[in-house]
Amino acid sequence: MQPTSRGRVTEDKRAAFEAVAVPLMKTVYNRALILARRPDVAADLVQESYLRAFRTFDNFIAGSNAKAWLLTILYSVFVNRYRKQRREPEAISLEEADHVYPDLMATEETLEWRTVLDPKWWASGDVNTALSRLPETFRTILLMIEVDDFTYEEAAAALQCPVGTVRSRLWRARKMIYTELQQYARAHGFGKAAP
Amino acid sequence: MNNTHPFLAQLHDLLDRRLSPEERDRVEQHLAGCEICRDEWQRLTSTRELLRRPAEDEVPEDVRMRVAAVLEQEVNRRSRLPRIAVGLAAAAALVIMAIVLLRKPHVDLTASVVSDYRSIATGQKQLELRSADTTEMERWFVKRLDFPTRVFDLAMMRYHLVGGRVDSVDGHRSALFVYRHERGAIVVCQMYRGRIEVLPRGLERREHDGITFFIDERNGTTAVFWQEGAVVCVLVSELPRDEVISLAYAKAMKVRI
Repeated sequence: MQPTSRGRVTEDKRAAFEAVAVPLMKTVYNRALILARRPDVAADLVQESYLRAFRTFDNFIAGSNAKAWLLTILYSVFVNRYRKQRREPEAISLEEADHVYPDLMATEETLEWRTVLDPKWWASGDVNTALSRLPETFRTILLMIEVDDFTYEEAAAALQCPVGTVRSRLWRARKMIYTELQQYARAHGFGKAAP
Repeated sequence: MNNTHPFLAQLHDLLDRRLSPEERDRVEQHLAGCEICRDEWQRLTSTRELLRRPAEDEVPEDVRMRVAAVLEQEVNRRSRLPRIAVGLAAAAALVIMAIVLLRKPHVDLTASVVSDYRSIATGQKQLELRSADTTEMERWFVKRLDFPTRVFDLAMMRYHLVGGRVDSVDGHRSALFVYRHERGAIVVCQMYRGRIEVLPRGLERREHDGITFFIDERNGTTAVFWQEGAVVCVLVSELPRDEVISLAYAKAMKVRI
């Protein structure tokens, strides 16, 4: 019951870990929701990520970027555990992506991008919904680089793929997310009535 | 998007800070004079700004509890006693259990701890120490009880320690301490030297992470019992049954005896 000295050390480590990691749980959970698409799987991801983070907390340098550290673990857990388990039918090839996501900028029905991307039209959570609709490979890379500011090299290390693959996936992912945003904007009448 | 424009591809590299200073200067100079590229650049940066809007979903309470539980389990795993001590303690425990089972009739412990809970909730019983500091509370109990007490830190689940008192359960002196949730609900925990086997038969029994929990209820108040070494722990609250159980799961420590 009374913590031993070893137990006290571990409790102290836990307290230090919680001080760093708990305030970031909302960010980690929201990323996990986009990655996993399902709250129950997102909860699994968060739990496993926090356990791994706690186990490697000795390697964390106090004062360094805790958010990047935790998110790297989250992405790594997602890629290693969930993608390999193929819980979600993966992925479309780069060529298929080009086919599935045609270049809407070239069509006549497009909205002007300033309307599509105007934050005033976007309700809370709708952008994440659009992100969630992307195939796994592309939403992951987009989150890492576009949202969380990973470098290509950091993303490549977490995803265990070449830097060139990161680059090609990212470019397509940008095209795909814009297509999703534009389709959403058209479906919801952006620019036609007051938001 | 005009993919034939010579500088469009480099806008992605500019956005991702992958150009050399010379390349960056060249692209930026081009941007200043090219409306097509400037428009595409603004579209790329506006997309990024939109995607970076802050996350909105709150972390569900059960996710917080799951994380707390897995950390607790990890801490316990690392703090485990050497196996030889565990074996000796297990043998001693079997002897104690046999003695207890022979001597003690099953008693209504649930009624006792629920009554204590209500006395605390209504102010009939006063706390002897008011403190939000779990370490201070533990030290306070150490001076007054002949068994070590582990005062949980439930702050992660948004329950804050209010204080405690020395009480009694089934004739045993107990450490009683109280938490209050940010929404106002209270949770009372008691620990006392004893054996869980004296609980009446027929209580709901659940296994979690190798620990056996017994769950009982009186008029909407839930009590969750478990054994930690020589000490019985019980959490009592009028919170939803599953929430009380989840709290117990999160904080119970596996101690082999």
